[in-house]
Amino acid sequence: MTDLVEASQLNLVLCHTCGKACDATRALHECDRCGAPLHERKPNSLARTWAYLIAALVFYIPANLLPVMNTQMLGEGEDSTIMSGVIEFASHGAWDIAVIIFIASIAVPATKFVALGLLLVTVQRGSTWAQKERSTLYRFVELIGYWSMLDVLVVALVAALVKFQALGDIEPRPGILFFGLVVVFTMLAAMSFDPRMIWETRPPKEHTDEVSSH
Amino acid sequence: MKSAVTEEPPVPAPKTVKTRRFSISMVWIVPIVAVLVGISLVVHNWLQQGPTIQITFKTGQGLTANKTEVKYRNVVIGHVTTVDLSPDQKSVTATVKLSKQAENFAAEDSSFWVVSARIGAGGISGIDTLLSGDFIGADAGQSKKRAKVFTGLETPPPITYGEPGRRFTLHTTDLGSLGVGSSVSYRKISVGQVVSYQLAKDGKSVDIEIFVHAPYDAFITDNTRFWNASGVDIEAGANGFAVRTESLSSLLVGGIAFRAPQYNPNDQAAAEDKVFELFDDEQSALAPPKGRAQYLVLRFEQALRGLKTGAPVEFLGVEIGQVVSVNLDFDAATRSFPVNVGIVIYPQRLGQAHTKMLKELRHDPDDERNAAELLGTFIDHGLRAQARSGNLLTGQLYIALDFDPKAPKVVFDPTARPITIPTIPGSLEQLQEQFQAMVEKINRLPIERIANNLDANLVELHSSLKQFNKNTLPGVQGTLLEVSKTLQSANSTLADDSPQREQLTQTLDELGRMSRSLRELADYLGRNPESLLRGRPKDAPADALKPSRN
Amino acid sequence: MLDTDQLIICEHCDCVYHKVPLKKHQKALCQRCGAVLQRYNGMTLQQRLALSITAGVLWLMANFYPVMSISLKGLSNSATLWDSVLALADGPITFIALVAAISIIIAPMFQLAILIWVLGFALASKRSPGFITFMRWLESLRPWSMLEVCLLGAMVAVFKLAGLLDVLPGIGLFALAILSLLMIRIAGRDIRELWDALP
Repeated sequence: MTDLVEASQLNLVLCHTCGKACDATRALHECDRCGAPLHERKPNSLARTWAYLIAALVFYIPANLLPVMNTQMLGEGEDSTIMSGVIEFASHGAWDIAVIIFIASIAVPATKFVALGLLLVTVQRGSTWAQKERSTLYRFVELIGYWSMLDVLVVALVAALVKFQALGDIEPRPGILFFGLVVVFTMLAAMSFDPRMIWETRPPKEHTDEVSSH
Repeated sequence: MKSAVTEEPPVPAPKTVKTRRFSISMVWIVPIVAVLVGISLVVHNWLQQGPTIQITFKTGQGLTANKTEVKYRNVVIGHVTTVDLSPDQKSVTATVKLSKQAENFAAEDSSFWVVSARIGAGGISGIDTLLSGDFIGADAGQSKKRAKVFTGLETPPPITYGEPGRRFTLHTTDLGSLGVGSSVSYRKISVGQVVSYQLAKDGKSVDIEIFVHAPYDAFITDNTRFWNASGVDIEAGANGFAVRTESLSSLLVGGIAFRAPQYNPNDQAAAEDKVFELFDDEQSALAPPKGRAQYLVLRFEQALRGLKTGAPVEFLGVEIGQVVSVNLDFDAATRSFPVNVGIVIYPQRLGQAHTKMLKELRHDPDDERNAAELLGTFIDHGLRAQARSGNLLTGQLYIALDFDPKAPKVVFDPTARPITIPTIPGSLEQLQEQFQAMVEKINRLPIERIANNLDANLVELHSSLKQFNKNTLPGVQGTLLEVSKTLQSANSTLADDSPQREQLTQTLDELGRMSRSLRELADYLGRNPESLLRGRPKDAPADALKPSRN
Repeated sequence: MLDTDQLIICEHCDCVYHKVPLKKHQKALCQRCGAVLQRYNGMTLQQRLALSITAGVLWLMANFYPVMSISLKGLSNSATLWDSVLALADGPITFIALVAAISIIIAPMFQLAILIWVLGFALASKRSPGFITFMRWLESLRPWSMLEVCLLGAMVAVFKLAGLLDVLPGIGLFALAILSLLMIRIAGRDIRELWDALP
């Protein structure tokens, strides 16, 4: 592992937008290929990630407590939350669908909270514990991030379809808004996190600044 | 599968410039196929697209853009794309996209209407729209010309979809409780309905247009009679009680029934749009055709309590006409008040007898003088009019024309107008006279002896009457109570079981007859108490009774 | 100085590598963190453009044809993607409709339009007008394009409604299925190769 060279050692900076290895010796502020701003690390990564993560966590509460959908069948209205939808599917024997919704709507956001929280804490401590695994964990979080939108889109489709006036009508409820916000904020949190900090053994604070300090 | 590269001294590798030959790759088949599929879908859609029409309605109730469908026989043939207020703001314009197969719905005589749940003459319709929302019903026109703008009907047309059947016109004096949608029934089966009505041009009658569905339209023949079957028809006439109803819906919203008379040789199916007369009730409708009416005057020297206009006139028991007027007159010569009764008879109602007679006597029915002469010969043979009690229960009288050979001869003036038929006293009056004669005869009898007998008889009669009062009359009362109960339950279960009602009618008829004969019995017993002991003499009339000698 | 064009920096741990030519089914992984550095992509520009145009057609079909229709006792209803966005737009939750619209309609649309535009010029070995801007746009749009999630959502909706009523997948759903597969193939990270291909 010692023969690996980090970009900073070669005075190179990665352009996040086009993936170009830019020469940092010329003290560039912008990528000379695509014109995107260059940073050695994502700016204010930790603070932003924490902020987005906490915002998402706050929204996660109403997203699970408020109804996401109102089902009216023959005049009888019924609000359903995400969890009640999962339970309904499970009780009808549709285990596969119940598992999909559970994973996408409840497990994925929860995993993201735990994973991002873990990454943030370990990075702040400059921990060297399981760096490779943590890096994999981050990529996993990034990968699963947007699948939580599943429930929002299901509600949208179902609400658009079931419009039979008195016979049956499905309407979205505010819970879905908060749920969507959770997804958006966790995605933003994952995007603002800089995984390179996992490999830094020094406390990360010096690296919140821009590349020009090098 | 995994080739990791380690960092090497950063020596730039020689760069090979690849010259790209510009050749068409096979991959282009993919987008071409996609485009073709897309185009085929668009073309398919475009081919499926029918004409776009605009329908104006008074209100936009039940119309939703992109939601409301246009249906024909419950098949979707188009949908509403927009609902706008018309420029003059007096109506609502719905733009409808019809499908290709519904192209002929753009014919200029097509009709459109909003189908929603409604309770109408023909029952409740469109219940399903309560759940599904209203839709636009359509009926294709026959015209070859196409139109873009239509005016929507406010109510669904009663007959749609070019249904097989025929239309007829009924002529009547007033509409009664009929309306568009009132059912037309045949033997209590609904076979059609009233589709429109309008006042005749002179305002003196009403023309009702009815539609009878195939195959029932074949039952309408040239001889078919139509009558108004609206509501409950309770009739208390000289013939007793009669209760008649058609179906429940005709009870509520009116209805028309029809039937051909029982015997109809050479009857043919009626042509479309034939005009029929609508009678007021079944009886008058099914009565034989009246033919020419003949007005006659009868002069009675007796009080005619219970004789009303409309009372039947019977000839040898056959109803041939009715009383049209009852007027009191003053006879200066005898200082009495005779009653002039005007009657109208329809000789044609005598049926076969009439036709045979006409043939035999080479009689011209249109010649009144001839008719008067004919009547004159009848009167010479003893034709007399008599007011008879038709219904003892209600006291109604009717006029009977009968041959009475014993009647005193009268002089008949065939030139006098109106023709007058001589009368003989009514049955009750005769009874009184005979009773008087009997009393005179009794006077001449050994009274003491007879009185004793009579006394015993009267005691017996008293007890019989008591028994009658005690047993039979409460029974009748009970029966009447039962009838009232039955009527109540019939009221509540009036729904659609007409057989029950029919039975009820029969029962009431029978009850009427029963009470009539009871009354007759009581009357008879009052007059002839001895018959309780001796039984009824063989020759029933009262004048044939001889004073008993014991 | 090094030729920085031939170097790759791992996004996840900042390690620097040389680019290597890859064979079929091969991918280059970072030795330290295991992140994918390079992935073999056998697609030529022509293929990429062809697939982009295909995807464009499919996008039109997915958006203008109903994704699915349901029927219940003779009543029927169908919904396009846009209908489902509108279904969210009622009331106080309009914001989520915007998110949904971006993720299933707008983002893929821009991605495809930019791809066709940029690749069209690239075929003639030219940088298109606004090349740099468009390439940056492609990068920022990628995470917000969620067609495959939408596809899964539609399938879940089918199952969800199948118990209550008759569900009929529409042309839109099939188009959506192929489109989401194509998007993974053509709008992925490897579009960055264009930077090198068009100096």
